[in-house]
Amino acid sequence: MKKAPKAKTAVKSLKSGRWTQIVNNDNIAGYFFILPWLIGFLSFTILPIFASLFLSFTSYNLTSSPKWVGIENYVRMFTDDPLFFKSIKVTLYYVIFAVPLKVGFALLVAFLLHRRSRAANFYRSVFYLPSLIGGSVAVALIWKDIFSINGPINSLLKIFGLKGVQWLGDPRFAIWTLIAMTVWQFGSSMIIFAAGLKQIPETYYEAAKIDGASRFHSFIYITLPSLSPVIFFNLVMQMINAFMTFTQAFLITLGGPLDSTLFYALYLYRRAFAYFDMGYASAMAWILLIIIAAVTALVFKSSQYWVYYESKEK
Amino acid sequence: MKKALCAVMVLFMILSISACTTSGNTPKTPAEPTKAATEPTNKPEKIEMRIMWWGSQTRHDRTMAVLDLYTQKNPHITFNPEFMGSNDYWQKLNTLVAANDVPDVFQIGNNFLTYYSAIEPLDEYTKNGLIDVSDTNENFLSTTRINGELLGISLGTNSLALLYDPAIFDQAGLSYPTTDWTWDEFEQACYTIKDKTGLYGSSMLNDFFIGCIISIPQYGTNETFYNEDVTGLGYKDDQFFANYLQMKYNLTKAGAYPTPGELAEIKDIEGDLIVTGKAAMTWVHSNQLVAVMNAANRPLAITVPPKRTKDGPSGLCIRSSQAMSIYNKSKYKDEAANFISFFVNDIDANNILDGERGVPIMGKVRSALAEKADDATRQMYEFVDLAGKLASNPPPVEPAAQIEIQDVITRVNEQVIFDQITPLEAAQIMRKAVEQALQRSN
Amino acid sequence: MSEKLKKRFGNLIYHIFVAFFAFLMVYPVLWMIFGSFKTSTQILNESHRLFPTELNWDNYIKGWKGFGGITFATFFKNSVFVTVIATLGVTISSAMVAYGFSRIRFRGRGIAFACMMATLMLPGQILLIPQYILFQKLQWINTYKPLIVPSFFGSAFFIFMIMQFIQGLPKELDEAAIIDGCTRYSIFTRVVLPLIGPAIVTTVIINFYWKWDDFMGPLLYLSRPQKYTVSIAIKAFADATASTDYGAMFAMSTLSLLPVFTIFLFFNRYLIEGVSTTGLKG
Repeated sequence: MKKAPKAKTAVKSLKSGRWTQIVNNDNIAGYFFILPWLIGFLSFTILPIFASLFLSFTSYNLTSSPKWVGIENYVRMFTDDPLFFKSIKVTLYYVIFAVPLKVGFALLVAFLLHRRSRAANFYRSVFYLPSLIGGSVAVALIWKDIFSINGPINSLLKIFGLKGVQWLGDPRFAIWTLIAMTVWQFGSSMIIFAAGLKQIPETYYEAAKIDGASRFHSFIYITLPSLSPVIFFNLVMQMINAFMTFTQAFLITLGGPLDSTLFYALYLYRRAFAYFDMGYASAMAWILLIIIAAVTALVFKSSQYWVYYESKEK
Repeated sequence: MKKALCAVMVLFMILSISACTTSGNTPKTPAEPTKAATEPTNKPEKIEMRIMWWGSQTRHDRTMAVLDLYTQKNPHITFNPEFMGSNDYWQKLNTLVAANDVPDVFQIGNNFLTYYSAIEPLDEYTKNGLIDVSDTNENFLSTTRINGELLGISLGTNSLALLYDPAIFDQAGLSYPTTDWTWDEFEQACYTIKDKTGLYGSSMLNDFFIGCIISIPQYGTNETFYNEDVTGLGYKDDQFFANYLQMKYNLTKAGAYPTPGELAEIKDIEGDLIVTGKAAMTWVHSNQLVAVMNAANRPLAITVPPKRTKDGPSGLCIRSSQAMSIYNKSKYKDEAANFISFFVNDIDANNILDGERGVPIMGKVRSALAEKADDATRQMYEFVDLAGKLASNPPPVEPAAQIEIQDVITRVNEQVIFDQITPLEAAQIMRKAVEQALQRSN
Repeated sequence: MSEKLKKRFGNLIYHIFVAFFAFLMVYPVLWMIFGSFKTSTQILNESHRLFPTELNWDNYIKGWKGFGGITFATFFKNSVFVTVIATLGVTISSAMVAYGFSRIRFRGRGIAFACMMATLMLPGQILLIPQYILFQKLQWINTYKPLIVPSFFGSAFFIFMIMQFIQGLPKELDEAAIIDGCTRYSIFTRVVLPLIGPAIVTTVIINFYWKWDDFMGPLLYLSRPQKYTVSIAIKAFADATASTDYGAMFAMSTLSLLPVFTIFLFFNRYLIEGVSTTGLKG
């Protein structure tokens, strides 16, 4: 907020006339640029969002009109629904493991392939391919096969003298088949990292080289800080997405065995469209929003300690 | 600024609430007009009817061909077909029901009660002859009759079958299952098969359909799983369901039934353990028989599921695999009724459809199709005949909470297998959870 | 000499490692592609085998026929139309909004940004029905509008992403431009936009794929088979209650990979080739 007046006066001194003054006002310019989003938000997003907030205070089975029940859905959730707590536990476990693994993996691969060579180009395409078959039926079939009792993963374990496990049938391990799938589809994070790497000025590395820095050192002292805004982005977005993970479990485990893969969003979806309990599902959605918002706010707060913006005032 | 923002938000909230309630409170308001609305009179007016179904490529192709045939015969009626895969169908139907935008004619399973508020009862149309049901009987019509109202016309009938591999039975030195086989004999046979051949006795058992719907009436107490008005459970003794869980538990621990991991690996009915040669028996609905037999590509035989006692009731019922219903806010109900009548009665149309949706309910159609059926299909026809003769129960009514109840049953069953609770505890927990779900949804 | 050998050896290790890993990663994709030459039963029950016994194009012929005379040519055409327009819209609008949020300090910016982030945190499943009713009131059902128009108002994901890239540019650039006589508007088009090329390319690649693969939107809003997109047409092969033609489904899924992968290959080079755009060059 401190910066604004300075910029404004600078503009003012160069241009004259009331019209240009208005147009170049930061408030006017700001709203001009965010106008597309603002219109979209007001016309397509806000109504459905408030509708869902309203529905969360009703009993609504989709086929007849919603009945107002006050905070009953919220009360039921916290007092009479063990599956609600189970699904939170499962989701948190998933977020804690899948997000750092996926982001770390994407960063590593993007960094290793950030060379100007045909091979790197080729590998990058290959690594992106898995993300393109995302939630298809083919993935569901092959994944069940890879993690089957006599499947490749167990054979691999056997080579190392480990005993195979029933990946899909054991409540302790089933979630790892889904975590593996998430990490496997790191393509879009990788591309975002690649774009971030490309934006780091080459001169930085050249200067470091002259100073005799090793590759490892330039990674720690140049790549990571310069890339920190993009790392921050991937971390936040992957976290938000992980809280709302649905497809993997929907395709492969359907929440089982013993509800060990009952993700929050999967449970919510079943409540809404299979149990015809849309009011309750809406209430669940708002609780999830609060949880995610709280965690995201923490990450945003932490960013001032580790995210380095070129544009920040020193 | 903040105040203005607040005002805007409150305004939107009010708008959204009113938008919701007006769209929810529809009984008063008629369906959204999409075409010029005039009463259908003698003068045939050009209309476009919306029709929606789920299925695979074969079904989409054949159904579209029948729609064309109908338009040829009734040039004033054209169709806007909507088809999709089975998993997506319900997502779309749920949305359309909520938005009062359901097609005039739509395919439905046995979940009539879930969509009751959108379905036009058809009794009036069968009485005034718009839907011709003279070629079928009450046994078939009752598969789609709920609480005295005919809510759809069945497109195919279905019954649960026990499918077995005679070669494995021979190898284990067992005699083949018969129509008066008992569950005790079944259990013993599974152990013998495990001992003699190392294979599983049985592939996946459908806990809801076998453990609840069929098993409960088999005790001969004149009780069924749900009570008559589907507001609670219809049987008193929790041991009934516990016995079933105990049998599964014993079979699993003896290695005669697949572990949860192996069951989770089954990808599709055509990838069933009997197809892959790992199990001697499996359970399929009759409309899936042909697909499974073709996938197995070796001789398999069919019979009805086992009973509790040799001379007790079979617990079997004939169900509708899917039906056509009419939207109760449709503007073209009479035309829709006429079309459904054609769809189930017309021989040419059914020659195109070729019984792909299950065994047809109309006598002439059934015999026309049975004549040209191949081996596997004929077996299916014969089996449904047999099951019809042995059936002891009317088809069960599916409550709106059906899927939640099935999930409860799966959950307690898993808890038993993982040694967390005993079968009797499972039956008690299940009773409480099911009654809760039924209460909430009613 | 030995130094060179050592480097070569290191390169070899690098390639073996990456190639092996790449094969592992891509195995499921290959399995799907090869599966499109197998029968459904083979796909289900001989899945450990990667290569088909013969190169059988039947699945492609059968699958391409589509449903009731509407071939996949129609579905591909529809998908391309929706995807291209929507991606164009998302890219332009998101870049604009991102600039507004990251470079201009205006009143209400914090609240607006928080609102935008909040829209990312509500599970979409809950909004399906209210959204449907909204589009129904607008009489947009059975048109491509619900799939395309919202794209022109930016996507929170990409806005946030491009913001991070813009914030990576030194603020001195803006100040220098202002001294040169630039306004907020010309800074965006002349200074910022040319420098966030990688972010724009990333938006195009990712959004193209998301839109191509989007399935819930077309499922709900399109109600005429002539308008179906590839993503829903592929799922129309699956009938869990009877039998699914996996062969045809895999064949069409394989074809459906081509456009998205081509887009990736085409734009990917902008993420690698040439000297990196330096912040101070502009």
